[in-house]
Amino acid sequence: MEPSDLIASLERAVAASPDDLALRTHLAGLLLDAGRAAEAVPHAAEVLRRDPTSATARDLMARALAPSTPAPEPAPEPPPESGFDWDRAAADLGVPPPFVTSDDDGRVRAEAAPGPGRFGVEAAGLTLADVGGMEEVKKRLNAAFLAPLRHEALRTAYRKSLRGGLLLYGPPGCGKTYLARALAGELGARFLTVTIADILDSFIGRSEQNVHEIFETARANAPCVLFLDEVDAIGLKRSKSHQDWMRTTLNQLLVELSGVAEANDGVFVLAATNQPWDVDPALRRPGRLDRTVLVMPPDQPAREAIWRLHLQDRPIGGIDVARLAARSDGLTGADIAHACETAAERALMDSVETGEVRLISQHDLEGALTEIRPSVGPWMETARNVALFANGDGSWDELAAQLRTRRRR
Amino acid sequence: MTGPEDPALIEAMLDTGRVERAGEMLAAALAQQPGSPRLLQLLARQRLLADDAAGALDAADALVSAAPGEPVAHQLRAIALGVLDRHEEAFAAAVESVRLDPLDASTHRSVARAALGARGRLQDGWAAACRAIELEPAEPDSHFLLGVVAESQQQRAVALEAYRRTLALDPEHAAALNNLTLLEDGGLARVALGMTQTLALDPDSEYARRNLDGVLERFCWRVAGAGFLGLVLAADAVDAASEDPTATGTSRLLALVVLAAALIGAAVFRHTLEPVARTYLARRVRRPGRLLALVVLAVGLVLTTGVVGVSPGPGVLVMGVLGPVLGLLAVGLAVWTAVERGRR
Repeated sequence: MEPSDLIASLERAVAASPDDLALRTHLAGLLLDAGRAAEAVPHAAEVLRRDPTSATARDLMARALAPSTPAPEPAPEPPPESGFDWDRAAADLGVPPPFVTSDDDGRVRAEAAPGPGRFGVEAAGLTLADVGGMEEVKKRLNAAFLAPLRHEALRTAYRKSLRGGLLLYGPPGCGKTYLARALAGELGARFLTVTIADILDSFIGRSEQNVHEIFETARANAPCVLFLDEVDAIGLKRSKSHQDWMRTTLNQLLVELSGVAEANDGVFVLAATNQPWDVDPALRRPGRLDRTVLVMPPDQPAREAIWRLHLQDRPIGGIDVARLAARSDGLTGADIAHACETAAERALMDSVETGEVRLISQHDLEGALTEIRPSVGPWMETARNVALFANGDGSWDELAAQLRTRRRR
Repeated sequence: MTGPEDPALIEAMLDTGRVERAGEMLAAALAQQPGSPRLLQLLARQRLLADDAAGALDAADALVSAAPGEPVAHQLRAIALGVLDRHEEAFAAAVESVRLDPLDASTHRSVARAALGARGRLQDGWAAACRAIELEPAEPDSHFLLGVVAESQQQRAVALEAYRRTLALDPEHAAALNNLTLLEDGGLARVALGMTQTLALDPDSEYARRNLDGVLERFCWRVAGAGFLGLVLAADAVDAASEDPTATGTSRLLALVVLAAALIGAAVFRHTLEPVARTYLARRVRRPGRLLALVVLAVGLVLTTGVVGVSPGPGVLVMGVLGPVLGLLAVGLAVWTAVERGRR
């Protein structure tokens, strides 16, 4: 059998069994032997990502990235003036595009479902299984929302109504929107995200009309999760709102939320906010956003998942994700993403300076971590004040308990 | 629906505290319409909310150039100048806004606000606040400003009434509650209660937190004062005992009574505090600032020395060594307190 035939059949085998690391390692070796270093890199990187201790994969990666490795396609372009060939380096590393959208990574992007209105409805494309860690939050979501929906017989027996919505709150960058999307996926429902920009209109009366249209769109696309992002901007406390449109829009939102119960059949209202204390109390009354779930910065398993997610398409070697997760306690998903960016920048600049392309290492990532300050600091400060001074009615008991737990850690 | 450059959306961002995002949106919007008075007005507001008074003044100046007849341009200028401690100019800008629209209550409020910082303008401020109330009697801020001006003029009764009216119109006016509590001065526990209520309305209120800290400081000073009295009496007792070891000494008895009263007073004060204030103050004692740490240390030392001093035996040594140390500490603390207060 010709080496190219063997490689082709091995590629098919790897595609059929992507988790078979031995097969993938073997394929990477054959590709290297055949002078196809650029194609070998992603396979070696994948093996290293799943098994950072694999010495064979590390050797293969080093060989693949060695400057002497012949380019797969002779490209007789003149070397750049800086002495560093960026294009070549990118090709060697099999560098993925800098930003990966949900379309790019193969996730389902729903087409707009039929129905009235100008608001885009999409399929969720995620489930709670896609959310790493955060078991406590998932448990709360299940008890507050999913279990009553799934077990109709029990629900009927307990006369549990399906009215009301769920408010996710917590510091920014902790995955509230992601969780909402995953919840929609769990329900097999379509997903309609609404922000203040979708509602606000300069013309008098149009903002209220937009709120009505949004609910009509959701009803026409039932089952549908209607997700009100940054709900404090839409439903700011009336005592704090200076604009007339804010009050009238909030009134319309209250009407739509608690109007005729049957009208909202199949419409599940979720909302998220970083400033729950600014949300008008009327929105949190029974039948509206009457259940709350606190989403704090990710726990250890969630952080591991986030690290993996942000490192998966980068050239890495010898990464101890568990150690990184332990060292990034208190950081949000956004902070971790920033740390990955910083580490990638270090490795890249190092490659530029030395002229030798190298992998992103544990050292780069830990170095980046030392430069990152948790972005939740100001939020925590306000949350502590709220939990201490504004918890007269027990609204923030869960928050207070969480803050106590974090203080003890 | 609206685009990210829509001034209404930017205003909504500012109203809901999304200052940074509003700044980004403003940058994009101003790149398209650099001279838009509406956008410049929002930029001045955004800069003020971002604690950038100089930037706010630049924006307000640009706004005045673009729309010199707009009272709000001069009002924003007055606020920015006030923050920059250029009070005379701030007052002039506010007066200009009144000249442009004398029937707008907000322009008079602007004058009242600026008058608080300007030298010798309190009477003008008083008149402006009254005029604002006349034009817009249901606006809580007009009454609040009258309260502040009246307080500055030592008109306690007027200030009390103005704050009460403010709260009647807006029960969630945290600043009015803060000022009213301090002005009523119903004892330390009452002040602590008022401050916790203020903080319930505005958990990030720096003033209320400082005032709550002030309650703790004042309480500590009172205990320290009682402790010093006990100390003096104890010293007298020790002196008497050195001349006649059999003397029991009424001073020693009095010292014990004073020290016991200080300790009982502390316990009673703690008991009268609301649970929230108690939790907060206990937390402050555990994690005090430098000044508070010294005050607490001083109280602890005074009481300990006093108690040890009244007991026979080591009293002489304790009083001889710790007495001068405590004296120096007291002087140091007094100086430090004065400096800290001045800085605040």
